[in-house]
Amino acid sequence: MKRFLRNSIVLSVGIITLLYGLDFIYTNVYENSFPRNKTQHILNLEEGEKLDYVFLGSSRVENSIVSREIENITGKRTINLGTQGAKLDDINIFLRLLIEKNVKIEKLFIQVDYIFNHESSSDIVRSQALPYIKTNSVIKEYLKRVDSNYFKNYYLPFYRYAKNDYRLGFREFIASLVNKKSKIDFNDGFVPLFGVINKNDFGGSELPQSILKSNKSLKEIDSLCKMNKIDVIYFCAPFCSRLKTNDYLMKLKEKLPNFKDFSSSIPSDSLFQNCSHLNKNGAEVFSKLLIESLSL
Amino acid sequence: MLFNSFTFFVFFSIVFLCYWFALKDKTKSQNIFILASSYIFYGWWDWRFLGLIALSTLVDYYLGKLISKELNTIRKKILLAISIIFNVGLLCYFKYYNFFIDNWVDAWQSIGFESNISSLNIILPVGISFYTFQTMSYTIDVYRNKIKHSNSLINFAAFVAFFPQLVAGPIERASHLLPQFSIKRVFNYDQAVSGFYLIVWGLFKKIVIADTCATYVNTIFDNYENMNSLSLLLGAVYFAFQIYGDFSGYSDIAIGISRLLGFDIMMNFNKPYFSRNIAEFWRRWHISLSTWFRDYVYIPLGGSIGTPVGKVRNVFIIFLISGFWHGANWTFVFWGLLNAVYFLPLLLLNKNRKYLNNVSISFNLSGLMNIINMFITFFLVVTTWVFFRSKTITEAFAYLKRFISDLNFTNQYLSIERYAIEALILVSFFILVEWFSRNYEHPFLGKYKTIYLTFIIFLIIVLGVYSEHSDFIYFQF
Repeated sequence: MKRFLRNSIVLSVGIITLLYGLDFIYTNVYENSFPRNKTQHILNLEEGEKLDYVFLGSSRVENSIVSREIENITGKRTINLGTQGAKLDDINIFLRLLIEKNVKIEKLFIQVDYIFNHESSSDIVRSQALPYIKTNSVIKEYLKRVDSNYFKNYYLPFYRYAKNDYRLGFREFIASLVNKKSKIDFNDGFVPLFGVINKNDFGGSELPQSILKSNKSLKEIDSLCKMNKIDVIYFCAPFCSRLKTNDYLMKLKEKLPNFKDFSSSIPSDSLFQNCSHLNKNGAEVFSKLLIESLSL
Repeated sequence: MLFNSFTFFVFFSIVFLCYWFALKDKTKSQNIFILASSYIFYGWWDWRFLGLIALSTLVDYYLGKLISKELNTIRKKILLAISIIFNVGLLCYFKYYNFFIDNWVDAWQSIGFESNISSLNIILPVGISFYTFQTMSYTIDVYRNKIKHSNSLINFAAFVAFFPQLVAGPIERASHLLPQFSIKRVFNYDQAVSGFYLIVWGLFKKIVIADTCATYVNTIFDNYENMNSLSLLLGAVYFAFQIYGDFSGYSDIAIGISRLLGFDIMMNFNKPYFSRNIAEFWRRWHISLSTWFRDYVYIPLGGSIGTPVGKVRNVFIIFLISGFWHGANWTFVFWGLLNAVYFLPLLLLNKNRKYLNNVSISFNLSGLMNIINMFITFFLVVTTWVFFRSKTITEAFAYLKRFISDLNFTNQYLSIERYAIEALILVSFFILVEWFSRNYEHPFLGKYKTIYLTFIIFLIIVLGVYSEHSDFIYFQF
């Protein structure tokens, strides 16, 4: 028995050492590799960099704003930092990271729709931020607030990478290690969708019937912009024609006085990939429409 | 409480230390402790079903006693029948009641009648199919005078609820496991180490192989209408390794934990995908269930002795029951039927016991034939798994039809942001390791075993799927 216990202890110590070693290696690779997601891209921006137009939001920004098109027409440096699944809390952290980097933003565009009703954060952004939990104070504070596994992620070696294996696991680690470039050009940030809306996608698309009294993250975003003298514009990206709105956007307009509603600005459903997302052609049309409507 | 969870690690560490230190050399106390631990382990899922295990234990314990003491053959048979009806009744109520009701209603509706019977909201108690079969084997063996009835309710209750194999087997025989509760257990270093090796290998099979395959399987099966032939083929192959890794991984961990507590429980899998025909596959797959059906259903029916019609009948009965045992769905019944169809020619041609030796490959015609037979058998098994995995029989046929008709074998990019072929590297590595250790229960052998062990632990940490805590597949049965 003594021999068995002794070997068990040796093995346990070996496993713990291995976990610390792996944690160290993974963290270093993620911190020093070529950016493979938008969180990493922001962290890799140069201190004090100037960005004229910054778009923040969910996939409804990521797939709808053709930064290059805006840049070509207006001559202004434009970046699309929309991220799949992002909620207002995630937009909040992106903005904080941009401010921390002293990025000069002329105009900030934030897409708000039903995400106003969500006070949670996105798994995707949360996992993208995890490698920096110990090295970036903004991310540390953000995760402390939104991550129910914060203490495990912070203190248990390798836990954050194992638990998020789908996004930070071995496969992503190897891709980062060999500096495999992402399919997305982060200097632009636009991710086009192809194809046309399927007839079946029309059914059941509707906005919530009720609206939250207020959204804490949005309030924080607003005050951050005021503090840092950033001109912020809230807008809603287009939806397809069959969407049941339930007057949600009217209610949202009451809460956000400078809210620009583009929800029905694209009448042709052939420009949609699904009811909430424009396809590539739709995104180009919408980007031009934004330039005209907002006098960019 | 899953074997692959931190909760179980803490639970078992406490059990192990108390068992070997505080209760050392106190067999009775150890048995009480095992019983209490097993009830905690089971109650962790749903404490309400503890009463069911306790009831099943009490009924079969006392019936076993009565059967043993009864001299009148008819009364003995009646007592046995009560035990069987009780256990099968439990299974039928909890597992099949809604299935029968739904089919009854559908049958009447199909001929234009309305039936007022409605299904109930019944939760399936975890492991009920396993422990009812285990207790039934006890009363049958007592009836057959193969074993003596148990004189200790504690020992018998611990045998029924023994936590390493309570929820997903192996389905132990009373003749093998029950006597082990009566003898003094002494810690054996070699036994404990072999148990530890099995636990590590079982975790690798489950967390690395099965759970990785599961991510591909779920994507492919859920979107089979949009998949090409290569993806559909890979989906079925990945499921073959998912279910094997999942179930044999569980069994390995169960055997390993038992060994750490000084018990020996039966092997449940013996490298089934290296079988050279379906009959050999069934001697190597879920051995504890196959042998249970063989001993308690197939042989009493006449087995492979008798007229060809009788043989055919027996084979179909055994495979249909086996399919139905897995779940209340026609897909499982069809899965059993398909296995019977594959098995039958071997039985009728007297080739069902052709491959009793361990598989080997030599550089001659016989070696080549072995490889070809293994591929054919694996392909047949994979087709049956399509029915096992699909939600309905129609869906399974549509899956196979699309595989045959599409004939596009390009590597497809899946919605999980991975190429369909990617998991093949892992599966190939697993097949190679299994092949080179095919005559042993785990691959940690020879003078480099410590290096192999370290490497596998490293792979469990680095390649394991921890984001989705998936249950073992056989928990649903």
